Amino acid sequence: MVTVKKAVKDYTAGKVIVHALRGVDILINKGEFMSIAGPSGSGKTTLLNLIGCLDVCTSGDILIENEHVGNKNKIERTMLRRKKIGFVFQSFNLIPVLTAFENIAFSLSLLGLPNDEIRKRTMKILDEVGLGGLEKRFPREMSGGQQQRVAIARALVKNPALVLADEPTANLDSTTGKEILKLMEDLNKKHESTFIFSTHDAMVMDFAHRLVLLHDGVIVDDKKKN
Amino acid sequence: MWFILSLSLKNLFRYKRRTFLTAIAIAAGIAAFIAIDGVLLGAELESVRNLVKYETGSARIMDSTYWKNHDFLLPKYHLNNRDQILKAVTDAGYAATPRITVLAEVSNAAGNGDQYPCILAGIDPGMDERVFSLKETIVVSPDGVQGQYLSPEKREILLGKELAEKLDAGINDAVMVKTKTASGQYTTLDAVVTGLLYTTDPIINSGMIFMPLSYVEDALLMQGRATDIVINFPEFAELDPEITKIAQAVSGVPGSENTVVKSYLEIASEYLTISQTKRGGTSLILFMVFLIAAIGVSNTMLIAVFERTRETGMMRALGMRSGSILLSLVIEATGIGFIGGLGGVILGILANIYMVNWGLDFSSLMSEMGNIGYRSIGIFKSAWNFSTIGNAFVYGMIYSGIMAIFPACIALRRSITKSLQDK
Repeated sequence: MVTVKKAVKDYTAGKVIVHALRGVDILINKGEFMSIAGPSGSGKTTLLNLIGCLDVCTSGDILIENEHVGNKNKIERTMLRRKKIGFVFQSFNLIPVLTAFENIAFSLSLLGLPNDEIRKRTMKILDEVGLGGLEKRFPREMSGGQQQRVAIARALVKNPALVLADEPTANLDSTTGKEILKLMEDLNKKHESTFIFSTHDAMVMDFAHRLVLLHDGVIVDDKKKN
Repeated sequence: MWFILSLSLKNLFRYKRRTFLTAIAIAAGIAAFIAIDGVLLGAELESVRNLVKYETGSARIMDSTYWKNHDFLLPKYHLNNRDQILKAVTDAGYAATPRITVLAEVSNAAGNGDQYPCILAGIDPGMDERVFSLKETIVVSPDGVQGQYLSPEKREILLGKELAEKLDAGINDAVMVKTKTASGQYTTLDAVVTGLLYTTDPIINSGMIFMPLSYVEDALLMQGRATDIVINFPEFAELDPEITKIAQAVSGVPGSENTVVKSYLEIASEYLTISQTKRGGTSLILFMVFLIAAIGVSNTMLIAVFERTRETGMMRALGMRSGSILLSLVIEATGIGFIGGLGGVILGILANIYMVNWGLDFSSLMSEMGNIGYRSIGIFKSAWNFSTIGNAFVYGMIYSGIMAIFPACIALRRSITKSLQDK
């Protein structure tokens, strides 16, 4: 599903070069529910950004469903993200002027689907994430947990091959965080999309079926749970 | 596309107060643009009307050399076959009158001898009324005497009211007019002031004098001759066909080879060019005012774009192309321009309705300022200029839209990852 080969990512911060990733190799199979964990500055978000085609490697390569991401130009990467990758962000990043329905439908409208299809799929995913009946609510009218459910629905509604979540529970209380993780786990099973989320929260790590530990831009542990 | 349009409209009302304030700035700029352009156009049209009514007539037949040297109004270049030309033109259905128009200097015969340059027009009192409207503009003099129109054959003179004030001359006072004869010698004509003219054309009020044609032609040695045959035709008649028709009528008159027929547009071309340039220049200033409003849009969009950096980062992450986001912001700014433009057009039209029907009385200001170039004094009325109203509205939206491009490009130049990290 996703292959990361000797991925190196360097940043320049003023005159200083920051080595965010120092040659990461990882193979992620279809349908995995995995967490990339590590302390702050370990390179979790950088790795997620590279896998999500939001950024490009300094060296090395990344393949998503056997497609070389490094060879793609900006527009091709945009199209890849549009079709195959869903994102869930720490701070939800919903569009405040759109309702829950419209925020989710946004993802589908980018695919150019007919309105009937958009409506059908959006209402279905709203039910799946437990927000049936709240489709007309604006983000300001919803709790943090509900907003993150909308964000998850927005990521999943297009049936992406890959869902990337950057610290999805960081802005939620622990109970709501658990509910969100449980929801993601259920949807992972149901939709068979690959879920990769970054975290430094032990509770989140416990939920993951596979845990990759990063430290100073290098994978220090990679373990699967039964 | 529907989503982009819908998002733009929703974002337009996201910060209602900001949108409203920016739209007000645009509305004020557009309303001012429409109202002032209307006033300037009104002044220009009124000036042309006054020009035709009091100064030039609709067209003139002149000797070609007189026309070439029309700045000097030389009487030696005149029409020898005046009466034949006049008959030909009258037979062609036009109201026409002969005039002798020359440069002169006028002074009060009993005064201190100060001479004032002016234009002397020798007019046939009866015929001149068919073309010009001077008779209705004779006013009561400051000492309460009602002036009279000229009588043929008498040594009388009509003075512009302001020129009379400069000369300190009133009704029944004697004035002296110095000019050149057709043979180039200086001559002096003396006459009694019979009336003071106060027209809506400041040039007549301060720079022209009128005497009976018979007296002027005798004094200038031009018996049976004239420098111009002035013709009048309806205000909205098309000039070119009328000029052609007059020229054809004149061409049949023996000895008319050296005559030319010129419309008021050509006779007053210098004034009209200046007037239009003035309008263009004022429009430029108004355009600058409007541009400031457009910069307001740019500022509003700049704030909006920076506030939504993370949001646009998210949209790009989800696969929305930068071009689509740019389009969405341009539509949003165009929407501000639409609201402002609509408000500006409504305000501008309301101001214009008042100005077209009632106008503003600038007479006291104009008398303080003197001649500011327009052939108009007193009440300034506007005219409707629907192309300006339409253009102001359309360009208001276009400029507003364009003003969003720069801030949007700044935001979209940031990488997606940095945009998503924006606080």
